[in-house]
Amino acid sequence: MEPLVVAEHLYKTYRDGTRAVVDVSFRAGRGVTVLMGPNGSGKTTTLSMIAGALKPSRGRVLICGYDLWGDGWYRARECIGYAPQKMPFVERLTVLENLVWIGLMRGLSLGEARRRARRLLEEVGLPDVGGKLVGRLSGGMRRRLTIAASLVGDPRVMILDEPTSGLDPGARESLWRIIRGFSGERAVVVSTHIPGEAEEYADKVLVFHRGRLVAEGPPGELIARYAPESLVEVEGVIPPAMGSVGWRIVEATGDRLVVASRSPDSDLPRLIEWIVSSGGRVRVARVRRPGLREVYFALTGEALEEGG
Amino acid sequence: MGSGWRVLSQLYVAVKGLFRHKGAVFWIIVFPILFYTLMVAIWGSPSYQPVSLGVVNEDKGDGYYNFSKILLDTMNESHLFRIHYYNSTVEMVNAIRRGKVSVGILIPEDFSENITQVRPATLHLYYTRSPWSSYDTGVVSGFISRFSESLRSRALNISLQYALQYIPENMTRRVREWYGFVEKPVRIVNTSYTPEMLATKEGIRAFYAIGMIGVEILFIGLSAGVFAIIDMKREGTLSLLLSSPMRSWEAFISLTLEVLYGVAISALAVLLFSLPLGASYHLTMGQALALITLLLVGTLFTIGLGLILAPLARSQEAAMAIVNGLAFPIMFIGGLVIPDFVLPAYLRSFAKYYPLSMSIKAVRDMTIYNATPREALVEAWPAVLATVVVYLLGFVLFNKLVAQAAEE
Repeated sequence: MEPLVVAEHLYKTYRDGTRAVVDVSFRAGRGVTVLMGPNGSGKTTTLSMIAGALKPSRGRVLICGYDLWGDGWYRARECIGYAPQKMPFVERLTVLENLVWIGLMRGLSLGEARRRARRLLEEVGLPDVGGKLVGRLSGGMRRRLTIAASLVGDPRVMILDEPTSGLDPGARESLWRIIRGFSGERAVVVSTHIPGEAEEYADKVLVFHRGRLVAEGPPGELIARYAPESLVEVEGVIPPAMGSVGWRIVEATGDRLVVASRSPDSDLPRLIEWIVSSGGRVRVARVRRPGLREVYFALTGEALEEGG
Repeated sequence: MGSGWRVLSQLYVAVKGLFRHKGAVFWIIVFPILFYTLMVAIWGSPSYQPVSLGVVNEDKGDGYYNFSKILLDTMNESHLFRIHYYNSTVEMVNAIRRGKVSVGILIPEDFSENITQVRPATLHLYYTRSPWSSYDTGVVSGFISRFSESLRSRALNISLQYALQYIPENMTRRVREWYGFVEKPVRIVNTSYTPEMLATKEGIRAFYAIGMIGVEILFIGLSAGVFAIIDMKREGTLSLLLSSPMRSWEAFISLTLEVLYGVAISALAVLLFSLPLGASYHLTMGQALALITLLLVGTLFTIGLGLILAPLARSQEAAMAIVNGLAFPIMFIGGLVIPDFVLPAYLRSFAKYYPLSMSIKAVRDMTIYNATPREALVEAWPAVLATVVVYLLGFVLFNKLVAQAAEE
């Protein structure tokens, strides 16, 4: 089956010569595809180009099989539901009216737009705020409304730019559950700078670094390929001469030892046993499994912090 | 059917949101009403300011018929003058120079004596040589001439009665004609009509109400055009527009409908408010339809003009400067607030040919002078033609600006 989103050799160079995106190609089918990278890595530019909001300098985008920037622009855009990072709601309109307005822009009749708006508000958990002015919503509610706004046209491709940015962990988790809930029959393309989110909710991750796509795949595969080693950490009294027993040591002091391991579950008891038998003592022992943060570091040599 | 709903999207925002937006309510409803009230308060009645006249009366008139008193009493009763008396010519001339009075007359001490003795009497007229005082000077001169004429008529009549006693019967007709000619060589035959409306209170108030609608079209239309793309970029709606299946002509019509709604609300507010203030409109259905057409023409022209200027506005500040820098002068020299006949000749041609002014003038011709819809539309046809060109050009530029924005 043809993927719902196909990006081929996308480039974006601004008038001042800034190269925001360089030769990015990917495909996204049903499920959640996450564009991951720090601020300025080209995620938003790429999303804008596949959403139809920014014309690529070079390259081609197919949405639902239609050329977004060519002959198929109309059909392609009918397939898209886009929510930029700061959704331009009209503050003087109510929540329901904002959704109806976006519905009208997408060509729905007034009645149909109203019906869809009401249904979506229920689906995103905002059934009672339809009559409230948008300006009176909390940050979390506004983000849910953003998701609803991207769905008014019943699109097959949802494109969401940093939908959880600025939310507390609880609100982020609840929003991601909503996003995943809508991903069954749709391609949901989301950007984030939080590796934990990508790891937990993405079916496929695209890793961006300085305008380039440096790796892609399911989170588990990326971790297995680029950051396969866990870290086994032990604190207590560490005996000297660790190097002689064949561990790959990451950090070793008198009271702390960190070793890299591809089989942490079997290596941890072995390490504890060796320390104790060598006259040392163990106070705390734990395994730190690798994630996309480590993948990003392995790929780029730069840290990707949770906070961006 | 999608197109139909898409072009209504901005109208929906306007209908639902206008009355919740305090700024919009002020500029679209409160401001025109306040401004209209101000104009009506200042110029709303067909009243004339009396001429401020300085008088030094040295006429003794002792023992004679007091002709200076007759003159001044007649002046007072005419309500054409506000008379200020001075003790000396120097004092009066100072008052003229300082602008306290615009014209002065000195009545010499032998004024009544000379008239009574049937000798030429003299009155001295003082005034400044400025264009603003020429009207006042004319009024005073004219009044004194009429007074002088009435004296001449009396004198001639006495002389005629005396002469007729000694003239043969067959000559009297010719002698009467001769005296009549000497008294008034040219007679003016006056025929007056009730003006259609402008000289009436109702007409003047309708005049300013229509002018105020023109001002609103000017500001709303020009702002909408100049700010169209800048605002969409600032608010982020441009990215929504670009990612939606909305065609640029649909967005353009949508913007136009939003502006027309604002203009309609504003026009309705001014027209309704003008009724209790004394304006009166008696329009036939045809005139009402022509009025709507002409206001539509004015609005479309102004939106188009705004869009033509939009490429010059690269920031909010620049856009604001363009709108205010153009709209304020046009408001005055375009014959919208100030009647064009008050403008100096070199500015009058702007008011005559500026398309919005032509539309407003044609509307006034119907509402005030009862012109037929056909007459009004024929008068405004160059404006219609200019509007078609400017609005289409505006669309081309709108298209170009949207395409440019998609690249940035």
